[in-house]
Amino acid sequence: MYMHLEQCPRHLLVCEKSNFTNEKSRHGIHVQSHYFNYQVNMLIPECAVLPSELNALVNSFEKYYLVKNVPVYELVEQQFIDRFVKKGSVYALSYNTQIDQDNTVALLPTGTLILSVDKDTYEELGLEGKSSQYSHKAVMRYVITVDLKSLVPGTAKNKRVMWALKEKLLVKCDFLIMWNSPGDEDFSLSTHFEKYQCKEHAPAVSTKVLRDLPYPVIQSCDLRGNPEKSCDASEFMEWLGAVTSEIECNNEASNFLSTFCCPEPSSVMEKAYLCTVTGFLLPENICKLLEQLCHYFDEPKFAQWTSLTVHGFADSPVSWGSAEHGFHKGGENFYNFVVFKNRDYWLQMAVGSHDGCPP
Amino acid sequence: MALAYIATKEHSPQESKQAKAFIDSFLKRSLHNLQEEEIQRHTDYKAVVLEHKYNGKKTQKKKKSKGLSAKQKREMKLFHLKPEQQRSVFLPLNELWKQYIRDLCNGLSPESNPQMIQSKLLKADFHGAIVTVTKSKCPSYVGTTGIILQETKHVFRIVTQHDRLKVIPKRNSVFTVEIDGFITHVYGSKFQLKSSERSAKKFKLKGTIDL
Amino acid sequence: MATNVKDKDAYLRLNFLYQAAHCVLATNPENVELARFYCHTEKNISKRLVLRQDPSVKRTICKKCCSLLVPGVTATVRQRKCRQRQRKTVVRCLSCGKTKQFLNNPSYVLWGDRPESQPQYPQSQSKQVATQKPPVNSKTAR
Repeated sequence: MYMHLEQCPRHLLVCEKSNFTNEKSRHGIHVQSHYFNYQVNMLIPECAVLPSELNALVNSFEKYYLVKNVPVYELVEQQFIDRFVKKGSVYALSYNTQIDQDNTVALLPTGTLILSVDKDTYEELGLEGKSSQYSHKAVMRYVITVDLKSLVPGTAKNKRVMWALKEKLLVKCDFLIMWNSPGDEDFSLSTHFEKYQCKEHAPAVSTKVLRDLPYPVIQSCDLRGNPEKSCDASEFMEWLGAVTSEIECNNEASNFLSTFCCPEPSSVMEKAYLCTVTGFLLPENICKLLEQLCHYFDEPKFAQWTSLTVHGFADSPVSWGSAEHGFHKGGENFYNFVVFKNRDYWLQMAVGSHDGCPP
Repeated sequence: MALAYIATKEHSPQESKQAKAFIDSFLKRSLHNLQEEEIQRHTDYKAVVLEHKYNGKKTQKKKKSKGLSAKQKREMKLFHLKPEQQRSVFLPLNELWKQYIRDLCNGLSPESNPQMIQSKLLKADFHGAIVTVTKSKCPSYVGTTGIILQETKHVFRIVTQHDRLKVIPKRNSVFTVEIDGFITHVYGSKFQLKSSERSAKKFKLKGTIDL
Repeated sequence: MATNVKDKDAYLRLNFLYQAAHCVLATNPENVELARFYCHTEKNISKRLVLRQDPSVKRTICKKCCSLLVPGVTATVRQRKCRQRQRKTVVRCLSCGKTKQFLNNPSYVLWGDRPESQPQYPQSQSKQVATQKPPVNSKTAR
């Protein structure tokens, strides 16, 4: 009876190996196009204190706003587009809306507004959209895309969008919003959304030093692993997940919660530094973090590698670029960089079912 | 020829060669005073019916039809509306319709029973009503407003504010009709009947309806 | 009076349709098709629910194409001789050409108004029958 529940849903893991110095390396694009990042985990082996540059960077992550009960038409308002969308890039994501049952809204930095709405809302709204990729025979979900940058005031299309979102059906939700401005700031988001409850939040940073941690041996040139010498990428990833979520890997007889143990061949590191940043994080910040992490190896270190894991929002309507993201028993979309001493890196991108293949 | 008639009956009529021979000899015997060519001349190009002739009555009277067939109606375009219509022309019709609905529901007042009004409206006529499409599977129909000019089995023909005649399928849409503050939603998919047939139909109560 | 009429809603609807046809035709004489559609619907409803139409209504609707016959707009009305000292009114539908003929007989009484058409009931019931005459009567005397 529970067969279909026990079955593991489809998931995808894309692994790449490259070098940061390689000109064709696409790591920057991958980071940039993963717009909505929820959490960053950084694991640095053989290290007890975060280097000052990294520490400064982590603490300089920009603040974001949580605005409550904003009608969606505010994002289509000409004033908003002129002030923010056309100058710099705006990241906005509806907060506490579940992608599989609520209406979810996202504004990408490219100026594309994406509304993922259920069937009833779609029928009432009267805006053209596409049916969701992850629907069965009866379509229960639609995705409406509006390009804000090409919206000209006064045209029929603009009027229609405004009418639908303002008069026909007032869609309201809480927004996480952030604006990456090019410099001169005439307006700020907090003054623009004065009418609504607008609160500033800073990303939360938590650090931890792990002692005597068994770890799998990996070699940068061997993505697939070698039965005797090194572990493969997916095994490493699994171990990394266990470490960040603090699951014990010793598999003792009394341990009935987890039977996970460190993949072989393994070794023990004396200490490791785990830093977690949670919030609404800009891809630009993650880019900088990655760069800084490369520079970590400028001076000789004990560690063979460091790792950086970035989790996306489980309920975001997009994962990479404008590829649709869905939710089916889990909405994971995350990627992991393993940076090696010689500037080689492994990039692992993983998604759950109901999600497009990562680029 | 009565003899020939009887005689041929004994033979089967299919054997035409035999029959021909018989006729020839019979004629020769009975008409000796005539020459053979003479006989030939008399019988040539004359139909001699040897088979039994059905003598049933022809009772098929030509039915005189007064009305027109569906095909004729279509060809004559009896109910074909022109695409350019003026909305202002139909405002009196809308007034008339409002009056009719008030009459039907014995005057609309806030305390009247909505269920009663519903059942009356189900059987009522909608020509002349102002409707709005509130929900539709096709988003471009949503929000269209106009006066219903014609209601057929599958579509409403309405005239919009911009003096355009629009054809809106009933299927997969929900319409809203407003009279004196009463707002009625009409589920088009359940309404797919000729407007004349609706007055005789019994609608069943259903718990939930999708489009 | 109207409370005890059986198919009141249907009669109201017929009445509305007939008036709507007149209304549409009066505002714009081009709308022959629309008026025809309303009359057609009206005819179908009365056919379906077996409701008699009053002769005054029936005489203004073309039997063939269901047009509303308005003299001068959708129909021509002519007086013709038929027998000696007898004249008839001929109404010709302009769209299909069907004619209706009425003898000019001022003493003619409709069958429904004749005493012998009423079934012989006791006094009390025949009164009720009389009230059941369609309300279409009253409104169509335009």
